[in-house]
Amino acid sequence: MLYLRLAWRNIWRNRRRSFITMLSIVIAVLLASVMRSMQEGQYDVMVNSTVGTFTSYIQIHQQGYWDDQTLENSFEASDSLFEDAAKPSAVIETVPRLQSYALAAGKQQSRPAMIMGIDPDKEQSLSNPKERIESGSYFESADEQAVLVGTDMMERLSVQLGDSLVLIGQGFRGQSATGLYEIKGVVSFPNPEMNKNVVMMPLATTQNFLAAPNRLSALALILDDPNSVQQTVNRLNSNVDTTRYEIMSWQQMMPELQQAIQADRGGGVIIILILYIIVGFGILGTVLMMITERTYEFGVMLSIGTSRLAIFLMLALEILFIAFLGSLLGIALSIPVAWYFNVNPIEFSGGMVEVMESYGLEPYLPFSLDPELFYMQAIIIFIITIVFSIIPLIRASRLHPVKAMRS
Amino acid sequence: MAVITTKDVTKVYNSDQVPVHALRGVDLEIKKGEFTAIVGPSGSGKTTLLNIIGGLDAPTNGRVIVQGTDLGTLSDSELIDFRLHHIGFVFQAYNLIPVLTSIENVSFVMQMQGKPAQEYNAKSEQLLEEVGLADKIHKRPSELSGGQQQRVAVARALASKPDFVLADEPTANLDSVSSGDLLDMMADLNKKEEMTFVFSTHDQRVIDRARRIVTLVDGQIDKDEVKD
Repeated sequence: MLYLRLAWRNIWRNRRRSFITMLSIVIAVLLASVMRSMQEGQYDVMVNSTVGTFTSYIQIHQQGYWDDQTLENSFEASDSLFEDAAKPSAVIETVPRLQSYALAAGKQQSRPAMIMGIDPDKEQSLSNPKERIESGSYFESADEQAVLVGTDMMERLSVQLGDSLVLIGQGFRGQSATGLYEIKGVVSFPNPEMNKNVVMMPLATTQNFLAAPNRLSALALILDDPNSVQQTVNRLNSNVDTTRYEIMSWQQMMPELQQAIQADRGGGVIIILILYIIVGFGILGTVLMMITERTYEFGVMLSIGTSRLAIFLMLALEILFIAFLGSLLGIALSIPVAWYFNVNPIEFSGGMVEVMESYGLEPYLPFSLDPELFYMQAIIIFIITIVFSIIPLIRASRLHPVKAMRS
Repeated sequence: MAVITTKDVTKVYNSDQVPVHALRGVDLEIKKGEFTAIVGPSGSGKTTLLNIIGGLDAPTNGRVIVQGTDLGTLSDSELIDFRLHHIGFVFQAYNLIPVLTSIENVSFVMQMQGKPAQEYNAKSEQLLEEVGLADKIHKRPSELSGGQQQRVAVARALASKPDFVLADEPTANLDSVSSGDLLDMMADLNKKEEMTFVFSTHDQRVIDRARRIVTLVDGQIDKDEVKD
């Protein structure tokens, strides 16, 4: 209690110095948190644009499907699998899909296409095709004999809305698959690859076309919290028969995206590290000044019987108070900034929009509000403050009383 | 019985460069209840001797025995603890911890000794009353005059119930009235409580009050007079 009181009062003894030290910590936490929030927000957009609208965060397949994506590795949909997949609390929707490849032909042109059999209702919570229709309309039933075609695919096939599209492919167990479908809508996905290649069909129509009744190639799971992927995968591994099914996170399905994020995050860490070092040396200077100014006082304290540990503790508490208050204030200031840019994302304009869209990203940048980003920066700055203060504190506690009082 | 005994104490600074002999074989014995002034010209070794007696500095040679304990046998942390329990200090100036009030400064050493709050608060109030500062117990050093600060320092020096008080030029920064008051107070404590005081001083007023005067010249005891 005595040391706490001493430390607290010493902070306010030289208010300007304490304020400047605290301000440097506040600015460091603020800059680091906001920067990380922007960075992670960008990754969230990347992940949402690709994972959130295409693969989803978790998929369940027949064992071996991901390595060999053929209809032979599809599986029969069962109620029990849907039930097991929906058990983890984070899972808010199970979205069935049947995917394959076929040759799509219009009047003049033909192109290879990715056939995506979707449940018209459930798919809304994943790729949200109804909202992305540029012209035409969405499916009305799961067995409608119609297709939705990506915008670029329409151009490549030189077809119009309402035209017929011929699909020729190979169905389940080598059966031939042929069908004629009306182009009911033109869809624009944020992912350019999907625009170029995707033909969407109602699930039952696709199963019929591919001679794969009641079969699915994937069960995509929608989560209420994208950060709970690993936790949910772990739960699913104990719920679902893993000898028959493989449960894959988006990181496993799209390792290149994960690696790109990690590489970029590494670059950000270097910038923040430089910031940390600058702040660390600022704190070192302040602590040295604080100790130099009070050397005589420490000499007196040692003389009258104050232990070296007590002097160390008193100084350490002063630094901890300043670091704690600075970190807390830094968090308190950075959250509203990040929140503002989360609600009002930075919107790109001009050429940036095209660049973003060409990468399949939506042209805006909302900041992330992941609490870890904020408290981690505060903890790191807090630790840096202690690390940079430790040597001056040890030196202060090792002062020789007579030499200190001569200073 | 002697409270302090120094045996052939020498102190050499810069022994590996140009050696400065601050003390050259000082033998001194101070008994309980003495009111001793160590005097001498600047550089004669007064402060060095006080520092060595107080365990703040180690002699180059010789022994210092305080209440039967040879200070040379104590480790650094033992010396700090010894000072806390056995020796009271009053320095020339800037003695007090600036962020603590008078009562907190006085109770500081007792808190370090681990005394209970009730005891150190009561004792601190009593000591401040004894030094005439009953109305200043919640004032910080910056709100006190130099003389009042030195009185608080004396109260603090007495708070740990030391075997003796070492005062290094305690009146050096005080005006004559404050010096007189401070000396009266210390003389009174010496008389009433038989507290042993050892001063290093240039101040004739201190010398006049002292009952024993040890004169140092060039690090050696030149004269050791006891007044009647």
